[in-house]
Amino acid sequence: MTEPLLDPRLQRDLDRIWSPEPGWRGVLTNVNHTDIGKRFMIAAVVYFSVAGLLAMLIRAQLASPRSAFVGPEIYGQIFTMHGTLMMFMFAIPMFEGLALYLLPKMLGSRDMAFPRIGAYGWWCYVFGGAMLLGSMLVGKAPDGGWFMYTPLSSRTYTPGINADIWLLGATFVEISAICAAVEIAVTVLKLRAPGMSLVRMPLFAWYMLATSLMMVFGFPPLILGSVLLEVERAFGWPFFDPTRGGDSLLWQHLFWLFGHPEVYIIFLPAAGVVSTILPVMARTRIVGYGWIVASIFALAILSFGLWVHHMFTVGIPHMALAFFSVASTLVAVPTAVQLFAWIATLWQGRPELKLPMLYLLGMFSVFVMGGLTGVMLAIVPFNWQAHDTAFVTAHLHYVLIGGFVFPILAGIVHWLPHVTGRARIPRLGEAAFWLIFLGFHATFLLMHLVGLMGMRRRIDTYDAAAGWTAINLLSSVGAFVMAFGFALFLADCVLQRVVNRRSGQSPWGGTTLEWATAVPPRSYNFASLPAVSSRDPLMDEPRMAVRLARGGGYLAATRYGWRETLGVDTTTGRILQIVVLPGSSALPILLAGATGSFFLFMLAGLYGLTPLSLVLVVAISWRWAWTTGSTSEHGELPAGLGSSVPPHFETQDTPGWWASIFTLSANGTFLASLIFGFAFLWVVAPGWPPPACLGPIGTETAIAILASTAGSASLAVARRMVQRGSLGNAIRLGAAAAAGMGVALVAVAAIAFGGTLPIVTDHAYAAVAAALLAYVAMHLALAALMLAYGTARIGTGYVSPRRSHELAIIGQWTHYATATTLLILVILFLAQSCR
Amino acid sequence: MRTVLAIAGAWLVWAFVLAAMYALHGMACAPGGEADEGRRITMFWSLMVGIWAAAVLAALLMLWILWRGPSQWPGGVSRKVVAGSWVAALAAMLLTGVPVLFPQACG
Repeated sequence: MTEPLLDPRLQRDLDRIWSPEPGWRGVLTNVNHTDIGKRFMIAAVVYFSVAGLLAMLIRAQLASPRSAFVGPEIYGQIFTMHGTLMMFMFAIPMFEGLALYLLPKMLGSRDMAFPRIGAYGWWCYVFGGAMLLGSMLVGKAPDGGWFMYTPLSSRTYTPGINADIWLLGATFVEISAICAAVEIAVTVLKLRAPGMSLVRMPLFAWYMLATSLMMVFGFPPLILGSVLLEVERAFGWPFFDPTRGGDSLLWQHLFWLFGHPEVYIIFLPAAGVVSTILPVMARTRIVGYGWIVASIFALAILSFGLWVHHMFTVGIPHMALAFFSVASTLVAVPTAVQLFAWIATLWQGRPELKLPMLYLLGMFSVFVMGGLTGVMLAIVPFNWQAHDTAFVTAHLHYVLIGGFVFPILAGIVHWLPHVTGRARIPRLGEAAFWLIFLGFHATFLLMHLVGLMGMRRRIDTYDAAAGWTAINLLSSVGAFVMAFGFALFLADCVLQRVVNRRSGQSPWGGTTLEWATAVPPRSYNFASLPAVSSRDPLMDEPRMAVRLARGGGYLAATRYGWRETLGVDTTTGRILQIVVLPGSSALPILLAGATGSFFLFMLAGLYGLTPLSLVLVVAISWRWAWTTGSTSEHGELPAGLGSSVPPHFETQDTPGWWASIFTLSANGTFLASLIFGFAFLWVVAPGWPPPACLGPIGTETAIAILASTAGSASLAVARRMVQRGSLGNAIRLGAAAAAGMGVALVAVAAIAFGGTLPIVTDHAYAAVAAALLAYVAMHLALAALMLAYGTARIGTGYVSPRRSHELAIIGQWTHYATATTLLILVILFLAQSCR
Repeated sequence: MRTVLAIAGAWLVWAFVLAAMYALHGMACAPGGEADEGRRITMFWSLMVGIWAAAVLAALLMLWILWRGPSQWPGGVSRKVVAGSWVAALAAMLLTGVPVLFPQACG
């Protein structure tokens, strides 16, 4: 380990508190962000390798006409799993892993805001990925393409469990992604070094903040689509069946509402890597910091307005096509702003052609070409010609490999010495780069041509008379060259880890805080926490690592065995609280196991057992929440360098409060997508009006709204009672609030089961109405449970006038349940007149 | 977080306008909707133009406030980023809304 001399007593204490348990138990209970981040990245590389092997099978099949290498059924599974693994199991988890590993170090924190959530996300990813990989081994892998279009993926045309594996496996993995998104957003906003205001943040943190917010709003439409399609397949509720009031286009809308932002969810973190590494390679500061921040947000939000360009050929009127064509071309502008900022940085600096720089230059050429073909595809007449051809396949690989893989490879080369503590082996990496770069262009540049010649994507074979043979053969040769390059890159990384010499403290001369830790880092990152006064703290103070290691920063002492880091004001970076983080625990793996059992029961058709999984999830979550907080008051505690602040559970602006806001935002997007689906089917789908409408629901609606509103009001008064120290009254009011939610739940159940709802398998109208009622019921039940929990916490001394932040979070969920009850029941009340 | 919201706000307004115009357009062109009536100036078309114009005016107002109101807003880089975002979003709103002037809505 390369590390400045550490205060030995401080080191011993910190090691005792932060190190994971030894042995297998440690593997299962570890929640440390460095280890979880590394696990994510290693697993992502494994999935990348599997998906890469599948790509080789595709190219082997297409290398010659009338090939019998694999049959059409297996070919369908191969290209579906290639896309699925690359998008869901490699790209997103890879940058999640990078963010989990890097962000706390870069921001000057000792861990992520929710270490156990990170570990839970990891186990969900492992279990979901195991479902997908296992399906390949038994020949039941998804085979409907990675965007699972209906009606191909409906029960009629995909009767086996192939599509169910995709829907359930991908949804399971998406839980992991949402967890990571919330954790990343809160960490960036709350767990920065003192003095690190937003405009002093490293650009990587800005990129990750925008990406995580995009995930919060981008993933719920796909989760909703997957849930609806799985319900249709399992129980026959016809959301996508046009013969019963559904519409296949609803799936396309929901999928691409996720799918297009997904491209930028993948690109933005990679651009963050570029913006971090490029100034280091150019030995200067980044040019246009403010412009880049503005373009990140422009890109992030513009990307949500482009989804229809994937549907240009489905028969949309010209005016709507024009809206989305304009939006699709506009998105090139913020991308170009970033590219010009990077070019200006190179121009301003003295670039060195080291290996990370080679990959960055590769990124420039490949990504710009992908962007240009993207502008071509944004133009409607061209899109109509090239739609679903190999041209689109080539375009998306230029964008994704140029915009994600090359920057990530640059990032791996750049930060691997930080992870391993060892220097890289000269020249091996350069050889790998050239094989990848040349092999890539040989594969995909030619694919544009064959696409323009009319070759459709996803076909398993073709006739020699089509004239595509030579191009396909060259593409296949290029693909194998590229595969050799990736294998060599992997060998370089493994050899560096195993055999090479020690690395220096900062081998590239990086100026961000991750280079102020030991290399490789200790479990607590910093012996004492830094304060920063600029965007390049190590440029200002090159020997910061030494000062921090000797205890010259914040929190340079331990107390109560707590895992401490600092919480700051989201904008200014002013210290607000000492955040006490949870330690190693088996709860994340247990909760992931319980969650996984739900998906497995669904997959096996054992629907009657799924309530057991839900009970387990609730019980473990309750236990999880109960292990946090404190029953005693601490007041302001010394945080070092003359400052004193309270622990986070004695403040209101806590990481948990922010996490709850972001989770509710994702939840609200899920609901908004469902309401959009209802409106879309009502207005656009064939087979409307439905054969039967909802019966009279006025009484149940009134009871549910009044009871939930009373519950919310009771909680508000209960919180006031807590502030006044009247805990007995608060307990009674909390119990009353829970009862109010329970009454509302019964009223909603009466609508669902009281005979007013038409038969849900008859028409999409009843199916969506039932889905909306299920959403309300679930949230009312959740609110009742949380209120019961809050009441129990008051009764056991975890809540006091100073320690009331948990009630604030419970309040958010209770009020949300009330608001959605009101909204949905009013919608259904109005929808009674459906004919 | 205020800074993040101020930057994102510009583009959120753009996203709202696009979504609203697309939704109104969908309703106008639905079977049995206004398109079947054959009129050029319809309620949905008027609403689309109204929303477009309101969003453009809102962006202009926001820029005027940024220009005139020095004390309530953060200075330095944050202010430039917020202002730049609103200028860009205004341009995007203008461009994205132009198709509403097409002679045919549902062709």
